[in-house]
Amino acid sequence: MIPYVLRRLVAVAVLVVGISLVTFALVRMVPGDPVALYYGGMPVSADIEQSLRRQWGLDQPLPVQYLRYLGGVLRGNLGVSLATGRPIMDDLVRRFPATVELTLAGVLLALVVGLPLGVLAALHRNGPVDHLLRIVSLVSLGMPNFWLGLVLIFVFGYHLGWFPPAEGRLAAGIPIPERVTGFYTIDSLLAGDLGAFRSALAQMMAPAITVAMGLVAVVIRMLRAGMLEELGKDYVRTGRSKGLSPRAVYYKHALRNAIIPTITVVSIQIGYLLGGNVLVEAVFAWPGVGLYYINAINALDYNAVIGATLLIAVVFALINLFVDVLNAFIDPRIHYA
Amino acid sequence: MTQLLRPLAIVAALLWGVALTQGDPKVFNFGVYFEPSGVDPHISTDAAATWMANNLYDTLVRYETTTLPDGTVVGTTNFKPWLAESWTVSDDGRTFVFRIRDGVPFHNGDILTADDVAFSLQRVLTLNFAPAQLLRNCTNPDHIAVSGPLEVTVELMTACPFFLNLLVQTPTGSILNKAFVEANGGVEAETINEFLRNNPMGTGPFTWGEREPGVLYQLVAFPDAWSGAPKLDRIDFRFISDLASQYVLMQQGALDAIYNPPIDILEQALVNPALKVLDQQTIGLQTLYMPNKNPPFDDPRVRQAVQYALDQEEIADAATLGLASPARGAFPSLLPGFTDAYWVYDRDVEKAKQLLAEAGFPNGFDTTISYNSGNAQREISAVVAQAQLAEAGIRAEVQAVAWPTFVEGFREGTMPMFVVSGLAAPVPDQFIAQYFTTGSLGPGGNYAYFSNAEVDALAERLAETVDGDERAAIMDRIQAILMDEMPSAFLYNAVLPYVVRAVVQDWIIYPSGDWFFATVYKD
Repeated sequence: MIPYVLRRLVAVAVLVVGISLVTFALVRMVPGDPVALYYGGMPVSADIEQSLRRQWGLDQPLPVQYLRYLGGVLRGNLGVSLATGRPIMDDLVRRFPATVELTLAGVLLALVVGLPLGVLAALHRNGPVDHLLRIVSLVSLGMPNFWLGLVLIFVFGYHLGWFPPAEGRLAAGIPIPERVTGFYTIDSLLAGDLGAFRSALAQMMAPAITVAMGLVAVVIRMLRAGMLEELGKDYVRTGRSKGLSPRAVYYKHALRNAIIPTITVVSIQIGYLLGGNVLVEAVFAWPGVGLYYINAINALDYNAVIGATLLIAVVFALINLFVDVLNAFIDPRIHYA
Repeated sequence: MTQLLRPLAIVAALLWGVALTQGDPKVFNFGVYFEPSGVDPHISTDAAATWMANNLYDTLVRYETTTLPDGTVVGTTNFKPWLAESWTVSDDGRTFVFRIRDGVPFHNGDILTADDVAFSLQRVLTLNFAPAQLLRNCTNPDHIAVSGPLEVTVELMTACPFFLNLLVQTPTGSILNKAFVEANGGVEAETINEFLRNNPMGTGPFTWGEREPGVLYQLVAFPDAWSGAPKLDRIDFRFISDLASQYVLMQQGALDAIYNPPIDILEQALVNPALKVLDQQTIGLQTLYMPNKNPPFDDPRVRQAVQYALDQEEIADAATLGLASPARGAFPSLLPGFTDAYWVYDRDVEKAKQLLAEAGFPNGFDTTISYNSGNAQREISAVVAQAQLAEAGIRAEVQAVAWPTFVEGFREGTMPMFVVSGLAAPVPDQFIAQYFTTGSLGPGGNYAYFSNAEVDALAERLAETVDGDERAAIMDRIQAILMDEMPSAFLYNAVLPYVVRAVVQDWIIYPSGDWFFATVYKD
């Protein structure tokens, strides 16, 4: 196992170099000048622009710029944001918990809702409940998440008052809890601030539902398929014929086996969600890595775009590695050389 | 199943107990959709940075205010003593002696000295970023000196009749704490001090509060401010990228003001009794550019035809719901020296057709009008202009362009026609030099790629002329030439609307675009 893990970690390092090169090249190909954008397109003397270009190292040949940047990355330095002047690593470390918190909330919601419904669909195969859940799954899979977010904000939030305004992680006037984990829900509890805890939960509901919506469909369909496969196996028939209750057979035995692939898929989806929550974060003004990404692209903030891309790529690769290792522990049949 | 639903029920109960903050009357919540690039005024010139720096720092002089007949107090382009309690100017206009106000505290308790003033003016020149680009034509660090206790003398290298107009601007004229700067990285030519970019130290009525990048930037009242304690305890700049969400938040009381909302939100706000729309008449013109280096716009007759084909009032009404006044010249109406004496371009489609025929386009021509995607004012301006130009035979396709590409396009003059506005300080010399002289073609500000030797010579003469009557005559002549040559089609005087809750009082709008929050309060 250890040699396998080490090999995978080396692959992550190679991935970092490859992605940094591809992203560096792609960002440089986008039309526009970050110096001009820094000044908002307002007229500025050529020598002053050149001065800022020198300050940012943009007057160097592209290979030199890349090698300098890569050298920094390999030392854990992602450079300074051209737009804000702050170290990018600091910004990402600050914002990443917001993305993780939202993602985990969405995943939790998807599991809490999706697991029971997946079991229900399998147990009532081809019945009205099963058909209804299939339709619901299709609709939620096909629904653009940003559209759902806007509906939640305007219809359910503004008109019906079910959700608070989409103003980020805390309501106006609620002090930000002292940072321990970066998760406002946890940090507020650690600080004993129930008001902040409630506000953090409330602010998270609508975006978490938006994140969960697509994932619920995956959970329902995966678990339904897994359950149906298990329910068709001999051990289930044997258990029932020996007089075990349906509850014991379905939940204690069949579900335990059926859930493994579902959890595997959901874990991989976490990797996608961590990088794919861009639109959800934009709609809900959620100050995570996704919103940072959009702003960086709009400002042609080269370093920030590459830094955020690298973060997402590394996180995704590490999550995949974690899932593979976890599977090996759960299922003794799996063995990595 | 019940076991699985139980956690959901608990969460729902908690949420039901959430009490939204109804809004502390002493805290002003401002929705902004872009973060500041920093708060070092000598480096950062974007709007968000300047709004904050306006309240963190002071300048030697400040814009005056005036009271309109309806009782509204508005800013002007005249100035009054501020950190400088008085000044004298030599007869030749080249020596300024500033008497610095005594006993002015910085946020850290240090007291303002003449050293701080001289240091700050020298710093902006030494750093040599955008705030310095006009000041360096007037003076240099060697010509700024402490000449007595609480006295600073500045020698100008040229006449610089707009020198005080530069010192009133926050990016150029902000006074910093010399000891604080030197203890935190000092000053290095053409180098950004990253510490000061994120850690201000001024004498303004607000200090730097809590800051969560991407979320919140707080300005906290400085009760010992020499100009008086502000009426608010705090200003929270809340970063919310979606303007529609900002408007919803405002209606729910979570925000007190939003900036430059799109037209559909403006329409709703204008009829909402709980809200007020404050329109800032800026020193800027929404302009339909047609780079003069690109045919057919290299022919002044074609450019004149475009202007004749347009109805500025219809465009202004459509794009700004009547908040903007139509252009009546090449200068914004609030720019000192503006005159409408040479405006002859009331809409005349037949005249436009005649000019096009004379220029060799009896059947008109095809072109494109570009604007930056997401900007509703420019989009509407382009669409209305498209319809009006079509009547004269100019068949224009309207194109939305992403901002980075749009900026590159107008700097390089590669877009046949495009709509853009620029905000200017009330410094006619700067405005003319940037927008109409050969030395500023393209990225320098002359997006029309207009070149006229007489205008170049007049602009140079203007920069050297101090006498008011002579200056007026020069600006008059420049405007006459521009109305004849018509480098661009001028649409309307740019406005920046703000929507505020009706409880917000005493927010003074300045044509310069500055925001000073010391007087603002919530009723």
